[in-house]
Amino acid sequence: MLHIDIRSKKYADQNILKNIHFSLKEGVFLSIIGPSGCGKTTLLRLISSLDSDFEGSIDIETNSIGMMFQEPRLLPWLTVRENIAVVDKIGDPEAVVKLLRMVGLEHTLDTYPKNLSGGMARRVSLVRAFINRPKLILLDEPFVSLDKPTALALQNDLMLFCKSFNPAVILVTHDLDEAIALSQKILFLGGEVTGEIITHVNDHYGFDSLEPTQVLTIKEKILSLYPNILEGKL
Amino acid sequence: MLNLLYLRMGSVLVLITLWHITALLADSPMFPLPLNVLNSFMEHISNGELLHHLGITLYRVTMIFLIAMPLGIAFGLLMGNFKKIDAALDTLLVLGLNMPALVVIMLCYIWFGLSDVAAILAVVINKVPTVIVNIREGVKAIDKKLIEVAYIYKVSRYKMLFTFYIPQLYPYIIASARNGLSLIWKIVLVVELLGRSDGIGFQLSMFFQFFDITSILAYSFSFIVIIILIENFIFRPIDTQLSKWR
Repeated sequence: MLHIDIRSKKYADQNILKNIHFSLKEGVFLSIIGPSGCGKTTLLRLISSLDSDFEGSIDIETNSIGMMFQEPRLLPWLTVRENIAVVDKIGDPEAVVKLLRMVGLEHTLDTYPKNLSGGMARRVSLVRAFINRPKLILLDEPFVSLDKPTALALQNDLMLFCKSFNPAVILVTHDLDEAIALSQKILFLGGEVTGEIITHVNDHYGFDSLEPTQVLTIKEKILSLYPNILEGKL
Repeated sequence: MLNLLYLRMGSVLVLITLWHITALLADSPMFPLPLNVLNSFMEHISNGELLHHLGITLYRVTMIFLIAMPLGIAFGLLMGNFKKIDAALDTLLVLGLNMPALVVIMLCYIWFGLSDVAAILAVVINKVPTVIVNIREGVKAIDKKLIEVAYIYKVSRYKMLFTFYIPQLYPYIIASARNGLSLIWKIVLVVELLGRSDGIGFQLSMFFQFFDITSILAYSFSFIVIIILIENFIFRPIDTQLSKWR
């Protein structure tokens, strides 16, 4: 599905990313975690080809990608329906309604983004990311700046969509709990890949499939390997 | 809304009252009463000549507007987006902005003859640089994060331009259309005065030679009415339609 082989990514003569190699299969949820400034977002921008100035190669076996950013990034002059339809390549108007219904937003079809709450706007952004049934979903800290219940509800919706459409997912985050709860694999990034921990034992999207005690065990295992991770250091 | 309407009408009423009082005090044929201007206006309408010349001037203004706006927007987009094009054209733009309108008009008439084409071209050359500057500023204010969304989802070039890009420029386009119209019709009158034998500008120059102040004011009044109609029935509805999401 996705093969990453980045030898180096420089910015103003400074190595931001170095020697990053990994592959990802369909149906696998990978979290990338690391301190701020470690190049997480840069890596995501390379994968999404928003930035193509690097040494190495990135092979993606699909040309349909969905992405969520830190902000909802909806076009304020379009209604919710139009915001989703504008990126729709399949062109099934029923699908827009169906996906919005899955996140409980079918009543907002003709609403402008300024009248949506932060959580609602992000759910619309989630629907937009999935409208083309992409094989690859990229998430750049989409839960940041949301309060805890709203973030959890959004994660719930994300998992619902993942189970329905089975994409490969890459989530960039600095929140360890979030990474453990959502992903099958976690990649620790600090200039280059420094470790990989498989958090889930089951082979499909997690979320709620781990017992609280299992979560604790995993967290302890990670913390023993990277004792400073909670302070944002590797 | 009703209060705002009263305010709009109120300012006009105050102006007319002041005019009336001043004219009474001046008591001179050089300073006609508002009512005399209105009478003259009705007279020029009823003998048909005002509407004839007004139509011709309006035609010129419309042509100039329809040529200058798209040209200015296109070059503004190019110069705002591409550093090389900006560098190549920037000096010309400064030249265009500061070239006296009168000089452009004279040159056009000398080179292309006393024709409608020369008249329209002269005003277009005067107007386009100001549109370019406005739109180029607008491009600087474009939210690149939204453009990235278009890029991620690989939307067509058409959608990129008309759904993601131009809507961010609407405020700048509307502003240039508004001050564009007022600039255009002012210059058109000069162009007509200098080298045409019809249009409001030409008529004004005739009245000026006879010191017929009442007719001069009546003709100006007719064009002001047109501008107010355009503002209320074209620009404002378009503005409302485009900014309903705000």
